[in-house]
Amino acid sequence: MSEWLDLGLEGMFTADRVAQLVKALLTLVLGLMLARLISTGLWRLLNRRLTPQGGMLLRRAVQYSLLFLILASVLHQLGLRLDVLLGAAGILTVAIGFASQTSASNLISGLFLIAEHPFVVGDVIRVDQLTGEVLSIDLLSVKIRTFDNLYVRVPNETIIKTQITNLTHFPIRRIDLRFGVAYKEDLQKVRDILMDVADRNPLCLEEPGPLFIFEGFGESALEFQFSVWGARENFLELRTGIQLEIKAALDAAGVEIPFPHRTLYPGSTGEPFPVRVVSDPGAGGDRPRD
Amino acid sequence: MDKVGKGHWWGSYEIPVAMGGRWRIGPSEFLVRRTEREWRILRPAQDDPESLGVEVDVPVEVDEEIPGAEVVRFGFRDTKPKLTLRPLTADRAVVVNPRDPFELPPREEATLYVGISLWAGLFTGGEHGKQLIEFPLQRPSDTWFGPSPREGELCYAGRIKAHLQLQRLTGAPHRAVSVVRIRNRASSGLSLQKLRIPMPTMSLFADADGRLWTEAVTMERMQEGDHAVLKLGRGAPEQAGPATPVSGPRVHSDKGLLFRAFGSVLKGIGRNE
Repeated sequence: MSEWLDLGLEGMFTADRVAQLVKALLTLVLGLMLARLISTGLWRLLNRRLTPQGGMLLRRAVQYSLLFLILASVLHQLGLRLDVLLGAAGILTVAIGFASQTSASNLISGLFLIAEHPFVVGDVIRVDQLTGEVLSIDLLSVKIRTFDNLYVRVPNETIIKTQITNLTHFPIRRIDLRFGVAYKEDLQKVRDILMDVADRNPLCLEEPGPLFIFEGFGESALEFQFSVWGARENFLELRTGIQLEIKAALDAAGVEIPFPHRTLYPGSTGEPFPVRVVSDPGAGGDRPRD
Repeated sequence: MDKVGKGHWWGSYEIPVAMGGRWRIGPSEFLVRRTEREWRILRPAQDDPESLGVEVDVPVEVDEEIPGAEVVRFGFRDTKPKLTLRPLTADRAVVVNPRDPFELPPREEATLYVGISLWAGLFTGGEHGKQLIEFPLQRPSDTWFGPSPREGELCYAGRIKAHLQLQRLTGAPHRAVSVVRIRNRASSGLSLQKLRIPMPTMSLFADADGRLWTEAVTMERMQEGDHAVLKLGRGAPEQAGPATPVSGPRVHSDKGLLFRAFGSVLKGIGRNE
């Protein structure tokens, strides 16, 4: 046993073998440094011409490709035959593939996502109930920062399967406001007030113009939709500002925005509802009356 | 007060420490206060959007706070007494509408006069001093200029309609006059509903009466469509008479290139679909 061990160790640490190991180690260290330098340099060189997402993808693609080449070179220097290794890797891939279906699915979804380009880094998207800014689009997942400053990792498979809304794709957005006024109000007057409010708000786009759509005779109000357009960066400011201004303008003009109410009617043949007025006995008021 | 002529509100002013200045230019009012280490700009809310007057009080005592006013402060190691005001063109293109629907038959040309809102820039030091702030003297509404909400450009909407006669344009200290020549060299008529004026590429000039002008802009429509070749004149337009340059363009000129210059009202995009 000890003889075999001696022979094995002796065989492993011959002068040639040590030189081979040192050479491989040097290739690995220098290669990794070079890969990092090249990918960072290329990214800095082309960063201004590319989108943030494009820059990030380029940097990673260069880094991973160089990493693969370095590892292949190191293994070759160690005396490993790459064709045998790749054959073994093929079998291993099938085995790993079965074991990591979810990761593979995410990986393929990630490639589709990169090719389809439904959003880019920096866009604000809505996925299910989640809304936030895209921080990165990686091979397995998309990282999102929500507006309450949470870091959310959404698997690419989920993104591919789910409906995504990109809130910042187009430079302008429409704000739809739905409300109603009392039946007694003059709708033409209401329309004029709303148009005047939109005209006075500089964030409200003049073109496409505001939109007034009568939606119907509701239970408690004449219902309509009032829509205004704004630049996407002013969306929140406009949405809040215009509603405050509408409320103030309608109040100033004495226009009533009703709340839901019910009128109880016993019918033409029914008896009127009996009413009983109860006074507070402690206040020394009148006797209760029917 | 220094270098401020008749009707002018721009130029350089000397403001001692612990004093300030007050300017009212059309609908816009702002106050500036200087201390040893700070310039403070105060902008009360606009109260009269139709005002056309100019009032300049320099030097004058200015309070540190004014109720309801927007305050911006700039810190310095040691403030210098000179403050320069300069009119600036809008930072986006401005879209104007002709007063009435306007048709230009093939191979015809027309000259339109447009009044466009300006920005004020405040600089410390002389003509090439540090910029403190700039703001619109009357904030124009945003508008979209393009064939659809997907394609186009965010612009400002001109408050004043374009006129065929210069006399019909009311002079205002917060607006500059642009002379726009439209040449329709195409074989089809041009229905002019909206006109894009490339304000960031234009300079400002002051005439002898203190009225501000931009260069004349010529738009040549060579073929059917909304595009035109844009050419900016050299110096102030001839209608201005003798004029002196007041401020340069914000960005490099677009002259000689083909741009979307004309537009029509967007229809059918606002439906609740």
